[in-house]
Amino acid sequence: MLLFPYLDEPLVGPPPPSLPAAATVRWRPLAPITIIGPTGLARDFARAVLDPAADDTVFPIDTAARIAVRLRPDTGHRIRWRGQLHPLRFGDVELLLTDDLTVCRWPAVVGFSPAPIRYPLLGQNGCLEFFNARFLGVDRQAELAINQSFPGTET
Amino acid sequence: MISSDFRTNRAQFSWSELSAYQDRWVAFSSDGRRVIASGETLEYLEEQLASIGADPQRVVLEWIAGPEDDGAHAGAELF
Repeated sequence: MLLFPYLDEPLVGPPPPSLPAAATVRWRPLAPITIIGPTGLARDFARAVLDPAADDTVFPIDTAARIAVRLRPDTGHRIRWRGQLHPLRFGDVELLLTDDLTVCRWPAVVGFSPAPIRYPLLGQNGCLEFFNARFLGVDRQAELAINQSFPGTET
Repeated sequence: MISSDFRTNRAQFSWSELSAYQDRWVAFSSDGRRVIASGETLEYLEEQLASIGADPQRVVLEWIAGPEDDGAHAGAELF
């Protein structure tokens, strides 16, 4: 079981009516993620969003070259981000999630895009499909337990 | 792999301390104690790291939110 306390992000300007008037931050289900390329080159991101509504797991396109990912041929898939369409290419990597107590590492096909996403997206394909996830609103914590389809190692 | 030291020390940064990096990618040291470099894009950040001889595999990358990021819709904006 992986446990990730929600992380805060600052509010800019007054809070919306959906938050308490005194709120100064938002709490989001964010988790640190390591992406590892085929030669072992890796990058650590402090905050990736656990997003069950995202179809794919998506990283900034710059990361692909930095970790020597060979992108698969363009399939014509696109990602819409803030109203604009951006290319979405796919590649084979390994992903690693840890909460300091448990380490989960698995192979995944993930997307890479030049869309100016602010967090890597941990979506269904390549990530959340391998876990049973619970989002504990009052505790501001996400729980991930590997499921029977998990293709990697848990230590 | 991101360490427990990183989590502990990164959490000590206040948002006001990080305000100088709004709308930028930053590279924290692997122990989360300091910001080593920053850039408007990941590509530029990597160039900055290279210019100071820092190993990009021994830093932790993070986008510091700015005014344009107030409100995330994630999957709702995709596909």
